[in-house]
Amino acid sequence: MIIDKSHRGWALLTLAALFLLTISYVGYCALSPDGPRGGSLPGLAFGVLAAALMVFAGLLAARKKAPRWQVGSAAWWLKGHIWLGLLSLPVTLFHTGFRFGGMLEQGLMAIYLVVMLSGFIGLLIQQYVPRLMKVTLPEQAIFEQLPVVTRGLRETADDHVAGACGSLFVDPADEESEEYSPQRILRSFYLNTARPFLAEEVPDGSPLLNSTQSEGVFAQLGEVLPEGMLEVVREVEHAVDERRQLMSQLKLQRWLHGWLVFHVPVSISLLVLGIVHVATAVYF
Amino acid sequence: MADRRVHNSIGERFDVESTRHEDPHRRLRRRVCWGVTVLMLAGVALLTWNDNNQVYQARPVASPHRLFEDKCEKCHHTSFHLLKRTVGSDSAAFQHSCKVCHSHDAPDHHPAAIATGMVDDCTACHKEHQGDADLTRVTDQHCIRCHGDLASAGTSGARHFSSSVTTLADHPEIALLRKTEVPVSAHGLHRVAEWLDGQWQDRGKLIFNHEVHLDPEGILVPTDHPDYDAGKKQQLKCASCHQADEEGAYMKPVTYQQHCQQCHQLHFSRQLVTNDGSLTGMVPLPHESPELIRGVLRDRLMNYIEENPGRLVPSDDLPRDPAKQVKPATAEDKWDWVEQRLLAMEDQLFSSGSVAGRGDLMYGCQRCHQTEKQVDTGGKVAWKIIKPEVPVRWLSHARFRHDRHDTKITLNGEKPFSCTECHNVNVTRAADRSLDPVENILASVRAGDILMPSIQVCRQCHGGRLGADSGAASDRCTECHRYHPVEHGGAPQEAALLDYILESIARKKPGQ
Repeated sequence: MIIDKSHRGWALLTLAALFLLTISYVGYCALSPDGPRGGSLPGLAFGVLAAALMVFAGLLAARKKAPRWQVGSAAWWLKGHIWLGLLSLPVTLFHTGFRFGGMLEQGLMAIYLVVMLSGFIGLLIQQYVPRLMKVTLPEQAIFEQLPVVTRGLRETADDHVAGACGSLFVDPADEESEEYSPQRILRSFYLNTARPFLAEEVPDGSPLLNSTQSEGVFAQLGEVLPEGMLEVVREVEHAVDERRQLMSQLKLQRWLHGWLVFHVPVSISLLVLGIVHVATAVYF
Repeated sequence: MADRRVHNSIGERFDVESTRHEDPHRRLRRRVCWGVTVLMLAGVALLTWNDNNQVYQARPVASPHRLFEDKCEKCHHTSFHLLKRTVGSDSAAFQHSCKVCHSHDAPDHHPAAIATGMVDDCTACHKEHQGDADLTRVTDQHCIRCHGDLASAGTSGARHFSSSVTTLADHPEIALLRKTEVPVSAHGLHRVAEWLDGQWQDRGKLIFNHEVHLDPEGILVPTDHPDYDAGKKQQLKCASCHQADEEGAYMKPVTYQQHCQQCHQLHFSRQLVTNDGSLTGMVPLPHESPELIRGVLRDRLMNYIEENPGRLVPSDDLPRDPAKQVKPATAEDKWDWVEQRLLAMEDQLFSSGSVAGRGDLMYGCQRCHQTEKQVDTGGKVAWKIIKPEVPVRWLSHARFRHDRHDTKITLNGEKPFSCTECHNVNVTRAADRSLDPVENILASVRAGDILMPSIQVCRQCHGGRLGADSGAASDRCTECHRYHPVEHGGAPQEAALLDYILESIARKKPGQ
């Protein structure tokens, strides 16, 4: 989700709500003999509103679970998640009167701030990483389909090399021969260097990890091979280049999706402790 | 960068089957979510199992309530209190649980506050769970709710008090220093002062002269004074007589034994009985009631006449004939002699101010006390000394700590306070109506003068800004006032506390 002009409505709505709520809070403070308190009627109202905003933000997950849900598009829910989730921070502080209460409330507040912080970091990642990927990685694939594309690359490369060499299987007699054989050189390079790189698990020390080094390797290979096999070498090189981009994409995708591994569980813990807070506050 | 993908078609780059396999990120996320949820619930369950409710407290309770901090039900006598309170249910009122211990802390100056619904219950003003805070230090807004417009608040005593006090700047002059009378039932100042000649006067019933005692050049003290050099003038200070109590809050009452006796010994004057001085060596009279003094005098006179029976016969009546026997004095004669002189002595002691002699009997008891002669129908005379009423606390509606006012913080650092810095301004003068109010405590010549500082003195520091000469102190109402200042014994509260402690001990040691 990129913050762009389409967010203007949500932003204005959030700012207007914040303005009204701030005025309400200031009036509430002025009229409260003991200052703002979470247990007072206005304090409770702020608390209920904050909880409602958090629940609304949390409903984004439910919306994603139900893609056929007709109540607003996923983008609409995501915008609401961002802006109303942001609004919940001042409303929560209005509820607490800018104090952090006892142990439970302090824990709750700490978790809430972590949720907000992780959400903000996630928003930054979502804002910039896709742009970076678009510029630097033109040969992207759908994140979930990366293994499929990788597998396809290898199969295509296999086909090209097998076509040029007759087969990918090594003939032991041919291997022991000391005669110049371009097929043997290509197959050997492919099986020992290029094909492992096109696997899902790339070996750590592969010379093809670095694009410059990879370019040199393929240039040297082209020098020892006849003209007729250079087309195959170029096809393998293309496959290796794309694989390298897919690897870069995977790293960026891990950032793009990985923060959720932190954000979502912390949000869940916020929800659990929030329920405990409400229950104990109401009971006692 | 150009797109040179090996496979461009969706069919080549997308495997429908792969969507059936769960994304490892999602799987990890779901597992962490469940783990966190279970961890949280386990923690809550553990706390509940151990009956540990402190973790749910908004903030710790005030230190006097720490004893039952973990027993929520001691105060929260109903469940779902917050909901009930929000909907205005009476069962949520905290009065019930507060009054288990605070049974005597009833509202004093406006008992109808709760009855009329002006405040809900004790917690309307006293906010618990604020940490180690003084629950009696309520905010000014609670006070201003009524005192901002006392006339509209419907209090019966409104006409005797300032109708609108919202800040210290609005605070009226201290009642003792005002020129308005207040009915006895309406104000506590009647306990320490009385309305005389259009102003309030100390009702201490003592005769005292600050001007003489605090003479900057000093005063003469007896030669046998244990604390001062013989025969030299000594300069007394306020602290020579006014000393703080053990807490340092108020000044202890001035007592004859501690503060007066060393200089004002009640020496027995020879003028009272005899010219030979034989009685002057006797120990001073006790500082006791007239009845006891009469007994002591009678005893001493009787002893004297027993030892000097010749005193019974006047010299003119002595027999000229040496052979003629003098008739020995009978007990009745001695008794009559003693009683005759006793009456005269009492007159001189309790009423006359003209008897010459040593010590303070020079002026008799009226040197310091007001006396009253009572004659019954049988002609029997009895003297009464008007009992002094020296108050420990002058401002019965306020509280004060002298020890907190011994120094002040100023821009030039900490400075000591002298007594006369406060007890020096706008003192009302009872001695001479023709004079202006005393502006210096050292000029007060009568004990009837009210020597309390004006509210203007308080304002110099309280509510002001930190200056070179004065400090910036709080101007909250609760700095000086309390809503429940009713004097009461601590027995009910202490009994309730003791019950709780014993109950707790019994619970912890069931076998004992």
